[in-house]
Amino acid sequence: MSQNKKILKTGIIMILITLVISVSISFFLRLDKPVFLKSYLELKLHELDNGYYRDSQFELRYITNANDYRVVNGIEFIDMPELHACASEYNHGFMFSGFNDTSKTMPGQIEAMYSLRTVYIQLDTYIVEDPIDELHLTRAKVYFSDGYIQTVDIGDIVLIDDEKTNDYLEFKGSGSSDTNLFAVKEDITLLKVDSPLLMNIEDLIDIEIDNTDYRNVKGIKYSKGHSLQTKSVLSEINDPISKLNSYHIRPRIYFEDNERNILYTDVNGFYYKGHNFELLDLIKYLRAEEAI
Amino acid sequence: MVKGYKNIFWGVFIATFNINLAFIKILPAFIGWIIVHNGIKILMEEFKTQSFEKAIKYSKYLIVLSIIGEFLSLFAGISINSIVLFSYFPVVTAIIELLMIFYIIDGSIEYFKEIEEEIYATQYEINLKTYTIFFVIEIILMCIGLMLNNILLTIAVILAIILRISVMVMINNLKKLYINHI
Repeated sequence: MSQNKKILKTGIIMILITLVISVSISFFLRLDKPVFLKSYLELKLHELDNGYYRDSQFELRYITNANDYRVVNGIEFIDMPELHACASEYNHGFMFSGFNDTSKTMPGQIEAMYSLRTVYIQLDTYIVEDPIDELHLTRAKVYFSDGYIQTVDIGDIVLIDDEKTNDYLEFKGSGSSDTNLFAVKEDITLLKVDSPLLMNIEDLIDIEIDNTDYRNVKGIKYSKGHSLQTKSVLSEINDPISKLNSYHIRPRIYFEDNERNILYTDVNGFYYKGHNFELLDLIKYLRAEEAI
Repeated sequence: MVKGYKNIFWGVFIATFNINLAFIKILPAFIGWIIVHNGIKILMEEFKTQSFEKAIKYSKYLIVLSIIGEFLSLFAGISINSIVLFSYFPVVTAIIELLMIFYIIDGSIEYFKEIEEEIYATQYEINLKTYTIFFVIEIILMCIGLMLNNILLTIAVILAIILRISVMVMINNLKKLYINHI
C-alpha cells in the first residue's frame, strides 16, 4: 500500500472516530424541548397619570437547541388566564403588532449547541382590578411559531399593588456599599423586612438596618428627627441553577406608627439577570433540571 | 485525457461556486459532480485503472448525496433540519468528496508511472499527500464545529474553499501537462 493510501486510511479512521464522538455528544446534549429559566420578579403595578401601568413589561428566558428556528409568539398564564399578554422574541415594537415576522434573523445568544432566547412580555394589566393585593404568575402556556404549545414553570412573577405611600421615612440619598439613608419624620417601630419573593434569595442577600440583620429588626424604635440607614448586598451567585435565573426582589421595611397603622417603605432592591454564560454553565443547569 | 481533466475542472468549479440567478440556483452542486463523473469516465476510456474505477464509484455516491443535500436545503429552518443526523450530512458528503478526488489524483499518478514520467508522479504524490492531510483536518474541524457551533466551523469552510481551489489548480496543471509535454 502506498504512503498516500496509508495516510488516507488513517485519516478516514480519524474522521470516523471524530464523527461518532461528535454525533454521540450532540445526541446526548440535545434538548427534546425548550427549557425555561426561572424568573423571580416583583412587578409593581402602579397606575401612572397617563393610564399606563408601571412595570407591566418583563422578560422570560429559555434555552433551546441552537438550530431551533421556532420563536415564541404568545403566552397565557395558567394562574390567571384572563390576563392578556403579548410575547415576542423581538424587542422592538412588538406590543403594537399582533404577529411575529419569522423571516427576521433568528434571535438568541448562541452558545455551542444551545441558544439562549429572551421572550419580551407586555402585560395588558387593565384587566387587573384595582386595587390588587398580590398576584402570582408561576406557570404559563407558551405558544411557538410552529404551533407547538408548551406548559412551563416560569418561576414566580408577582404583581404587587404599589399605591400605599407614606411620608414617615423620607429618602435622603444613597451612599457607598449599597446603602440608603432615610430621615425619620414620625416616631415608628420596625416590624419586619419582607417581600413576597424574598425567601427565594435569602441565602444570597445581606440586608442590614443600622447594622442589624433584617431578621432581627422587630421592635426597634426610631424617634422623629433621627436617621435610618439600610444596606442591601447581593452576594455572588455560584449555584448552577440560581446563576441562570433572574431576580428582581424589592424588599420593604414594614413599621407601625404610634396609632399602630402598619406602613412600609422600600429598601434597595436586588436585580440580577445572569449573563456571560459559558457552555459549561448551560450544561450544568440543564443537568440539574434533568433536561439532558 | 485533456477533455477528461477539463470536465473535472469545470465540475469542481460549478460544485464550489453554485451559480444563482436571483433566488433560483441554476447550477446546483450535483450538476458539477455529474460533470466530474463524466470527466472521470473519459479518463477511464484512455487509462483503465482501479483508482479511476473507485473515483467513478465515489462520484456516483457524491451525485446522489448532493441531490439529497439540495432536497434537504429546501427544508432549511423546518423541523427536519434540526435532526442531529441531518446536521452532520455535510461531513458524509465531504468524506466521499475526499475519496473521489484522492482516487482521481492517484489514478493520474499511476498513469504518470505507466508512461514513465516519474518526476511528475513524485510531484503529484507529494501534492496528494498534502491535500489528503489538509482535507482530513478540514473534515475533523467540520465535525467538531458542527457540534460546538463555533469558529471551527468557519475555519473548516475557509479551508474547504482553499482545498477546492487547490484541486482546480492541480487538475488544471494536469491538463496543461498533457497538452504541453505528454
